[in-house]
Amino acid sequence: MSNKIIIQNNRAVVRGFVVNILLILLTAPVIYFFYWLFTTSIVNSMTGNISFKNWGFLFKEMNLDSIIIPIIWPTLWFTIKFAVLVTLLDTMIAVPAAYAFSRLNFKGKTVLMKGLFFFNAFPSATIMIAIFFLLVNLRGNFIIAYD
Amino acid sequence: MNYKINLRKKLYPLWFLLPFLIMISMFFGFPIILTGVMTFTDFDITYRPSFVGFKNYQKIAMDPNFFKILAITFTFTLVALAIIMLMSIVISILTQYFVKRKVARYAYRTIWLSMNALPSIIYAVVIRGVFSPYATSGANYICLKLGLIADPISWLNHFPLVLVIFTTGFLNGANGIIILSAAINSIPEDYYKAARVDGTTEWGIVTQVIIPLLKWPLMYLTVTNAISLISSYNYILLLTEGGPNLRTTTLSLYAYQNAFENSQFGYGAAISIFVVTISIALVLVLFKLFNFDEMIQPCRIDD
Repeated sequence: MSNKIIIQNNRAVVRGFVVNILLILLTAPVIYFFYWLFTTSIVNSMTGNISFKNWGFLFKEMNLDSIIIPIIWPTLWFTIKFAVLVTLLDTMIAVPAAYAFSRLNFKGKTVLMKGLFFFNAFPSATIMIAIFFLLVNLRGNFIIAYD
Repeated sequence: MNYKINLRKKLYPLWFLLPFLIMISMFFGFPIILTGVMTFTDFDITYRPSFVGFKNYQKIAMDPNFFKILAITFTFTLVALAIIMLMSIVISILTQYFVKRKVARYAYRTIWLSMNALPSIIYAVVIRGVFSPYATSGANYICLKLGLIADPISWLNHFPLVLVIFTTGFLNGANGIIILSAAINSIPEDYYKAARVDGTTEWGIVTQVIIPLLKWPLMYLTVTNAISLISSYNYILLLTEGGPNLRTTTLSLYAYQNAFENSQFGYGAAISIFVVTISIALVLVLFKLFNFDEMIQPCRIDD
């Protein structure tokens, strides 16, 4: 009886070992990816010297091969504002719609649900052509309205 | 009176759907109709479109590159989809079911989640760096050290399609892992215990408990990934720009190039309408395969 338990325990240990080895192998590219990204940012590929020159945008506007890179913080602030507002809007639209889809019955539910998938089928570029003209026209109207 | 109540009942779901319907029609419905109209015009850089009938569609049929690009699109979509699904199923089941220690489980999940946090341009930069033709680049360095190759090779020129497929598969797979992991976590522990009491092996638990319970997320992942593989081109554009010699050009990239690089908006729109037709056909087949209509059952809650 106790022998059987030991064999089962051994099996579990071997299985855990195999699982972890497999996962480490599969995850290795991801870790290598971040490693590459970081080392490339601090090691000069020509000389092999380590410098944090590329991280200068944290403190001041910098000039990299005559390309002006602005200090990062205003951009970061805008990104945060953008992300929060889009998330809020997204949730405000999606949550009521999701409630309707999952808890209410209405005509055309299946069709609309399938439509959700089909909308993604359009290559964003071509929709962008149309959205671009839509936005340009909207903006034109707004500018006229506010002038 | 009764009629009024009935009407109110019918309109009730509409209030929840209204913001969603407005947004969808503004940013999808209307642009899609506009795109459809555009395919019948010779809309280009002159911004003076006039109707040309089916000329753009005839142009697609006459295009000498068309069948080559169609074949590449299919190879790209099917192989990448297989990689994505296999990878996300294997990794999520391994991490969420087989790894028992909570810390290890969260560590793996965090690493894969972090893959989703970066914009695609960064992946393209890294892949181009790792597979650059220099002897010091990651791929060449490792292969030279292992003695697999004698001289450094230009990976993006020799194996462009393989590289593009694997990059896209790997990165989209990272997204699938997150969704499947969450789904596996929500399976109650009792199901596993019951299966074990009945004498199931671990393999049996995977194939007969976990996979059947993941039907909805698996359907969602397969369909959305199939669609996005057919319609997206951003990794290809960033990695190889469709080259060398059109070897990695898919239909949607071709549509993009025609619309924006050659400024033939009408022709680009026509190609993308063609792409959409293909992907809708594929999605309908997938819906049949997964029995989509049965999955969306009418709700049993009566207001």
